[in-house]
Amino acid sequence: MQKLLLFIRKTGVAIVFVILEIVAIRCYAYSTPYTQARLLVWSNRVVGYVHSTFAGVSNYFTLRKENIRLTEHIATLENRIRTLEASVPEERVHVEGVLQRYEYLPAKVISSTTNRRRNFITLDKGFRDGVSADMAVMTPEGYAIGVVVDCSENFAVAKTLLNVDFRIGGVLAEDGSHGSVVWGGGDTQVIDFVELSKYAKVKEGDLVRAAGFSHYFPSEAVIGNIEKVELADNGTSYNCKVRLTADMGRLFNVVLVRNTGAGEAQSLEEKTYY
Amino acid sequence: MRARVYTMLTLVVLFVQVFVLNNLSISPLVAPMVYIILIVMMPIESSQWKVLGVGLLLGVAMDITMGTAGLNTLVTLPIAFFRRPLLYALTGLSPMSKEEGIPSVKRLGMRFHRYFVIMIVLHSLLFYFAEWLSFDNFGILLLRILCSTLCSLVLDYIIIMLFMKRLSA
Repeated sequence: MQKLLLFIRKTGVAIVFVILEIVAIRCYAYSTPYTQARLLVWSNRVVGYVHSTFAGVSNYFTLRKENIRLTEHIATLENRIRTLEASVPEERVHVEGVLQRYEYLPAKVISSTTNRRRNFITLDKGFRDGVSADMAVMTPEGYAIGVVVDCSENFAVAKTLLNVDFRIGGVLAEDGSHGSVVWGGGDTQVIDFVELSKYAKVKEGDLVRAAGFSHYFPSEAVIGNIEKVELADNGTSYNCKVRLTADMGRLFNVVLVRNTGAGEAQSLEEKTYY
Repeated sequence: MRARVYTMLTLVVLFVQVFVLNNLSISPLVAPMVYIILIVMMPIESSQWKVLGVGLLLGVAMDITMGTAGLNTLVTLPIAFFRRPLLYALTGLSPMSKEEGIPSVKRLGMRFHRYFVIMIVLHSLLFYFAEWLSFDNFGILLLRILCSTLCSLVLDYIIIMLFMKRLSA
């Protein structure tokens, strides 16, 4: 007992210092999305390699399942291409490359969180692979996941739809009405679709896609299906609950998407709007 | 007597930092931090607990007034915690020595300047790196550190020159 007291007396100040410092770093890190993302990138320089090793091992065990899923997806895409090729006149097909607005880059998720108010995922691709901030993150099936906020040489950090600071435009696939998609911090598979006009023809089960004007996601990116529709308190819009199509807790392979026209469109908008 | 002068020094430093320097907008490259001299100038015999406590209070107070949520605290705490070993290492004092009182040229000779400058520079380096959190625009960061540290040092020397006579008494 005496030895314990002596040990505490000797090391107490150092222990208190470490605890206070950790608390201060946490306060600072969570004070703004920028500090949070920057500190995540810094810590990823150190722990990223450990994470990627573990992720590599766990990926190995899910390879079979992933392979089946990807093969099925390829088959669906091939079918879609055949159908499209059949319906598009021959002379219009060759201009496809010229008009391509989005670039795609596959990546693997090496760590992710879903249990915080501001959730992020870390990807195994960094600026050396051509990743940059503002690239959209989607599943290979085309479900929206999030947007890259920062990247180091070999890793990128993206905030996901499960981040209370993240808001994107959403559109009702059937009706074309716009609204905002934002997470309230509760259920990790349910997200809010708010500010939807009360004149929109919305019903449960309707598909919600990312709005093309958000500049992040291609307009075909799927967010989820309407689960519950409620009129907002002010009576002028609907607030809907949307069940996410992407399984946010089980993300392995993702696709990074760059909108090559985003910069040009944004600068034009800034010049015109403001 | 010393407590009264130290309280006055604290009030002056906090006033200058909060009401003058925090609102200074000469250039984005100049953001001087003078509050750290309250740690640097604590009496030599002050225990590590006491210095850490003052560091915590000072950091929290600066965070509240600057709206920086933890930045000042996380930078001030290591300076407070390592002040004792740094003081001994930089001034050549031995932990066994019976030297007491405010660090000054009279007590520590020219080595006081070495201790004083290194402490201020260390705090500035930690602060601006923690604030920037990135090596992008490294040139601008370096220039900001250089300008702000120089400005802080000049102001710190002016403040301690005003108080040194009374504090060393």
